[in-house]
Amino acid sequence: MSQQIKSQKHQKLLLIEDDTTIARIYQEYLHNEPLEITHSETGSSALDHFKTDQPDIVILDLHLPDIPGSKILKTIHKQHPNCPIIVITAHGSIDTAVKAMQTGASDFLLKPFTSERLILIIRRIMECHPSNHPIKTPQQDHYHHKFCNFIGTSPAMQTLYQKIQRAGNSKAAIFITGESGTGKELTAEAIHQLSPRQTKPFIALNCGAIPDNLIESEIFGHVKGAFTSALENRSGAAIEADGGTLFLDELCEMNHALQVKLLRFIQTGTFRRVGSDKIETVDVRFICATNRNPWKEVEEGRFRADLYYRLNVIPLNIPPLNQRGEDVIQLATHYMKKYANEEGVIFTNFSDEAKDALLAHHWPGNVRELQNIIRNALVLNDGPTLTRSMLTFTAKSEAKNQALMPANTPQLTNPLTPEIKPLWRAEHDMIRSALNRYDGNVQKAAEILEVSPSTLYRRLKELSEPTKRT
Amino acid sequence: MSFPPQKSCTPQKIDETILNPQALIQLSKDIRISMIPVLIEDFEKNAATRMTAITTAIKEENIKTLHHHAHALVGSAATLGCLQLQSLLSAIETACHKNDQSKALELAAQANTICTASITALKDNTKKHPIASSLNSKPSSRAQTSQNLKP
Repeated sequence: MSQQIKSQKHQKLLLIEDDTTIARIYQEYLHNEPLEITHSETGSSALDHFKTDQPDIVILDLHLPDIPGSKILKTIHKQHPNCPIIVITAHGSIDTAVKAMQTGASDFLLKPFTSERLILIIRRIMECHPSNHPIKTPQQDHYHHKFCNFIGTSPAMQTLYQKIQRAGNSKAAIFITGESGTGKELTAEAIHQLSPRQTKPFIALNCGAIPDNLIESEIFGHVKGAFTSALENRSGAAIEADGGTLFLDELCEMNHALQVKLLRFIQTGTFRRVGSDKIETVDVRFICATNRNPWKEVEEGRFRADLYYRLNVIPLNIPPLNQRGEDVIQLATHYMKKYANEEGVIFTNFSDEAKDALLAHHWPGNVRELQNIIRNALVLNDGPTLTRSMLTFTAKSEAKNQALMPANTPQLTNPLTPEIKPLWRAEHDMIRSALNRYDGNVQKAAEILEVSPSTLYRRLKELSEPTKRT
Repeated sequence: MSFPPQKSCTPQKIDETILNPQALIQLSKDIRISMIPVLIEDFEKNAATRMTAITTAIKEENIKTLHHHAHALVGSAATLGCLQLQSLLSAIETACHKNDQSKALELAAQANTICTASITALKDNTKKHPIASSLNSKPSSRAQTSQNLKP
């Protein structure tokens, strides 16, 4: 089967850099990326390389011993206009970088730069470059390893990727549905990234997180004096998203009065700031999302039918994690590497039992729950293998798993009465829950538990050691 | 070419005017920590080659060659935190760029000494802190964190 985005395992990168130490550092920066890196120390050897094996992407240091980098850039760009070239220049030579961009470079990096910056640029270029999006028939569409920032190759996600790819080219409104933590905002970002509006702003607004009395101002802006705290004019998300995409998450939380205004805005592209009579016009593409069933919301009178029909031009349903099969392992591996790097710990693989547990779990919290469980395991345990005993599924998700068990499965506890646990266990679980909620952020977990971070660390350590439990 | 040990850079305390340990801390976040001693070794070899070329360029009063080799080393010096060397090589570059031959040669005359001190400081820093030991010991279950590199 062909692939629409080339398997990143086969992306070939040519690094043209005369300083071998620096070249080795860049290769180290990228050692976790699915790239085959070839290093050329001179311009002539780089040009020779193109004759035998054309790379997918080039990193070019403009200072080379034999041929000026600018000349190499021109030559490569002329002969291989679809090959993205990232130029590297010394700190302070911004003019050189600008000239390089005018000559055809895709991006530039000023020395010194971090690995994050380099990886970010390479990923963005590889995902968005036209050479990676050849036109294929739908039957040929198949995405390996990654699609935009998604991870997963399950049939359910392949179908979603195809829809996203097609939706990206349209101007039609999109209504994304899916459970919490499935990646609705990621989907919206991918649609924006693949649309002709990709260079314009992508503005995301969570309607559920903003109080009713402020949401109108957040979307449409306000004029000075429109309400007590309106001390100056403010443009809202609608203006900020002009030319780009406006993503309204948790749309079903929006009140009826504002739904009417939003409908008018979607139909006409015009709106008034709060407290203003002036009509303003913008060009915005709408993507909305909800974790509820929007049609049920319409039937129960909480969501306007006309707004539903206006937005539901292209419906996209994100599959829950428990329908994504082996994607769970791909995602878990991705987050294990990411968090191991962030936390400064070594974890390299999952035990077979851990993989089985991940695959068997129901994942009511979807990818967000998976992220929390992996981070929790990394923070509280030693690697390099992540084992089954390190995976702490939350009480809520365990309950859901139990609910899904066959009827003859013995119930260990009465679901109607809270489980009585040893006090140390309850405290331990509470600390873990708080850490899970805040993605392992000890400061925030300590705040919600009303203890100092050092107390939290100490208690967790004590509770993990049987002899020290009090 | 080898670099004689410098009296000014004892293993007791890292001179932060010569070496910025924060650069190594940043590097340890970006790459596998076991690679840092490898990079230092690589840098030492590369620097030795460049210093030979710079010495020849000084003798021949060849500003173009001097400029080239100063530029070629400044990036890795900066990445490894060799502040004094980075500063000197940048100054040489500037002087060459301005075609100020006497200034460029005067600065270049210090290059070998400062380069030697920088490499000694780099090696001392890795000996003093556990990054070097990570190469010789069995892999630890927990990564060497950037904390290990703090002076």
